[in-house]
Amino acid sequence: MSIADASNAGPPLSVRLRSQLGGYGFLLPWLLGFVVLTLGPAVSSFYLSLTDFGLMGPANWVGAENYVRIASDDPRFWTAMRVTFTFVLLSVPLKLMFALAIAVALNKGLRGLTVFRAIFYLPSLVGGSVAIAVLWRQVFAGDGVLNQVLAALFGYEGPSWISNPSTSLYTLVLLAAWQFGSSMIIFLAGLRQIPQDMYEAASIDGASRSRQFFKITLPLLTPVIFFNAVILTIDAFKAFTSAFVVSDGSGGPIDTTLFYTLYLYQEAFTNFRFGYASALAWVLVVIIAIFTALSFMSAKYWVHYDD
Amino acid sequence: MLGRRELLQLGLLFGGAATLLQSPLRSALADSATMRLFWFGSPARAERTLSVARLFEAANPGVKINGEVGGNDYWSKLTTMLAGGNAPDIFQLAPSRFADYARRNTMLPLGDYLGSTIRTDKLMSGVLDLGAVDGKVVGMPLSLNAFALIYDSVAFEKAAIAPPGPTTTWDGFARLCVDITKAIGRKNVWAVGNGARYSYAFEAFLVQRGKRLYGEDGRIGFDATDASDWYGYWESLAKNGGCVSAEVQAMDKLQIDSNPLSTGHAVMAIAFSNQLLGYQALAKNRLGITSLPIADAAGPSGLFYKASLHFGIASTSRQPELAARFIDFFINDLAAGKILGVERGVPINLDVREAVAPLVDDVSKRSVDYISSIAGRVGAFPPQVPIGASEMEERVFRPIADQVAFGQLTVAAAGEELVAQANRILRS
Repeated sequence: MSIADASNAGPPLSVRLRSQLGGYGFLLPWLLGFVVLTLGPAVSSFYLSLTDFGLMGPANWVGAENYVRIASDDPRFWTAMRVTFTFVLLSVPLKLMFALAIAVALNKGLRGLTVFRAIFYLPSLVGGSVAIAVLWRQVFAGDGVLNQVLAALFGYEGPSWISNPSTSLYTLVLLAAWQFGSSMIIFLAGLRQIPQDMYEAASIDGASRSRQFFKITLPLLTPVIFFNAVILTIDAFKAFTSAFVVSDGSGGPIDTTLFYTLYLYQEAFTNFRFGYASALAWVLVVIIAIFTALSFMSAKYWVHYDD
Repeated sequence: MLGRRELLQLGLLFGGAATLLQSPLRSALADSATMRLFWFGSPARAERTLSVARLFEAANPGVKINGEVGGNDYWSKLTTMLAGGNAPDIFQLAPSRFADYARRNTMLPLGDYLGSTIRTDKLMSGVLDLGAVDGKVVGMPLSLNAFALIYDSVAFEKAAIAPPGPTTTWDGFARLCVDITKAIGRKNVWAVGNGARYSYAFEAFLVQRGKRLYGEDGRIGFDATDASDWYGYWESLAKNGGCVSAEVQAMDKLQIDSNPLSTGHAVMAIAFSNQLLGYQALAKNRLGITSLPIADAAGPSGLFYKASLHFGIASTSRQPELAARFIDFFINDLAAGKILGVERGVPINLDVREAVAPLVDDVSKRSVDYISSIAGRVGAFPPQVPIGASEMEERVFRPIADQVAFGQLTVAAAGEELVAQANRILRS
C-alpha cells in the first residue's frame, strides 16, 4: 500500500488513533492482564525451558537439553503420556454422551426444566473443587460408600477403587464424566436452535423418533458437538485437581493417576527442576495444539454448517 | 532477531512487572518489622507456635509475626515461595529434607548469630551439629526425637499378648504381628502398616547392619541386597497377614492422621517419639511407646537422637537479625518453652527441659521418658542427607514399595530398582 493510498483511505493516523483510544481504554484491563499475567510468564517459561533453573541458583543456558531428555531419557514422561491419553480418550467421549443425552432429555419440554437444569449443572460448578475430589476419595475408598452399597445390594466386596492400581484412573474418568454440566447447557442451547418445523415435516413423512434424532438433531448439532469436543479435549489434557487431591499429589498408586500436569508439577515443586518442568509445559502446549489442529482438519468431513 | 539475553530481559520485564507493582507495599511492611513464619503440623502445634509468636511480639513492641501453617502441600508451597523469591523469613524443615534445602542455598548460615543473638550456652552439647551442613550451622534444631514404635496397649491387653519391647527382634516382631492380627480377628485390621514404604524405618534397619541410608559422599549407603532383604521382610509379613494390604497402605500419605494406626486398620505404627502426642490425640485407647525391632541383641539399636525439626532463616530474609532473635526466643526462653512443651520433641535447652518436665501431661511424659530410656543405646547421628533427598522421599521409596506390595515388582528386582533410581537421582 502506498502512502498516497493511505492518505486517501481516511483521516490521518493521529486522528484515527485518538478515535480508537476509547476502545483501547476499555481493552486495557484485559490487555494488561494478558501481557503481565499470561504473555510475560509464558515468555519467561520458554526461556526457563532452555535452562537448568533449579531452586535458587542461577539459570544456566542448556539449549535444547531438557527437550532431548524428555524425548530420550525419561520413562516417567511416557507413563504420564499414557495416563493422560487414556484419560482424554475415555473421559471426553463419555462426557459428550452424557451431556448430549441429558440435554436431549431436558429439551422435551419437561416441567420444572430450570430446576433440573440447575441440578445437572451443579456438579460442574462444584465438581472441579477440592471438596468434591475429597468426597470422591471417601466414596471410592475400600470402606467407602460405594462398597457399602455394593455389599448391601449384591453381597459384592469391592476393592479400594481409588488405591487399587487397576481401577484408580477409571474413578477419575468417572469424576470427570460426572461434570458434564457446561457442555450440557451448550447442547441445550444448540438444540433450541434447531427449527421445529423440520421435526414436524419429518413426523408427517412418518420418520420415527430415533430416525429424527440421527437425521435431523445430530447433523444440525455437529457444530456444537465440535465446539464441545475441542473444549473438553483441551480441558482433559490440563486436568490436575482431581488427581492431585485423590492421590495427594503423588500420582499414585504406582503412577497410575500421574496426569501430565501432575508430573510437571512434581518435577518443579518436589524435584526442584523448574527448567525441565517448563520444557514439559511447552511440550504439552505443542501436544494440545496438534490435537486441536487435527480436530479442525477433521471438522470439514463431519461438521455441517447451515449457512 | 532476539538474542537470549534480550529474551531473558523481556521475560523478566514482564514477569517482574507484577512483583514491581508490590514493592512500595513491601518496603512499608519491612519498616514496621513484620516477619513471616511458616511451619507444618497439627492444629495443636499451630496453637502453641502462635502463642509463642504473640509472647515474642509482647516482648518486642513494633514487631509483628505472621504465622502461616502448611499441611500436605507444605513442601510444594515452600518450594514455590523460595523459587519465587518471597520465602518466609523463618521456615520449618524436617531432617529427611533439611540438608537438601540447605545445600541449595535457601538458608542463611547462622554462624554470625550463634553465641551472640542466639544464646548457645545452655544447649545440649553437640546438638548444633544436627543443624550443620558441610561444617556450617544453617538450621537451628528445635528439639530432639528418635524413631519409635507406637502401639495400642489395650489391643495387646485384650489379646493377652505381650507388646513389643526393646529386645524384640525383627523375626520376633513378625511373629508378634501375625499373632496379634489373628487374635484381633477383625476384617481389615492388621498389626501394623507396611513399613517397606517408610525410609526412616529402612534407615534404622540399615544402621543395625552397619550401613547407612546416605553416606558422607552424598550417595546411598546400602546396596541392592540390603534393599531386597528389607522388601522381602515386609513382603513375607504381608503374605502371612501381619501387615496391612497394599490398598490400605496406598492410602497412607505419611501423616499421622493417614497412618493405618489412626485410620483403624492397624494397632501399631512405626513413627517418631514426639508423634506419640499426635497419635494419642486421635486414638481412644492408651498408646504405648518403645524402640524399633532390632537385628540382634548384641548389635546396634539403629536408634539415634535427631533434630525432630529445624528452623531455617531464608537467605533472602530482609531481617535476619530479628529472625535470629525469634529463634533464640523460641529455643531459650523459659516461658516460650513452657508453651511449646514437648510437642515438637524434647527441648534442646537443658534449662527449658528441666522447667518443662514437671509441667507436661501423661502423654508427653511417656514420650520424654522414652527419649531418656534409650540414652544408653543411641548411636551417632548419620551424615546429613544429600541433594535429591526430597525426590527420594516422594518419588522413590514409596512408589517402589507400592509396586512390590501390588505384586508388580519382585523383591529382588525392587532392590535393584531402588539402587538404580537412587544412583540416577543422586548423580549430580
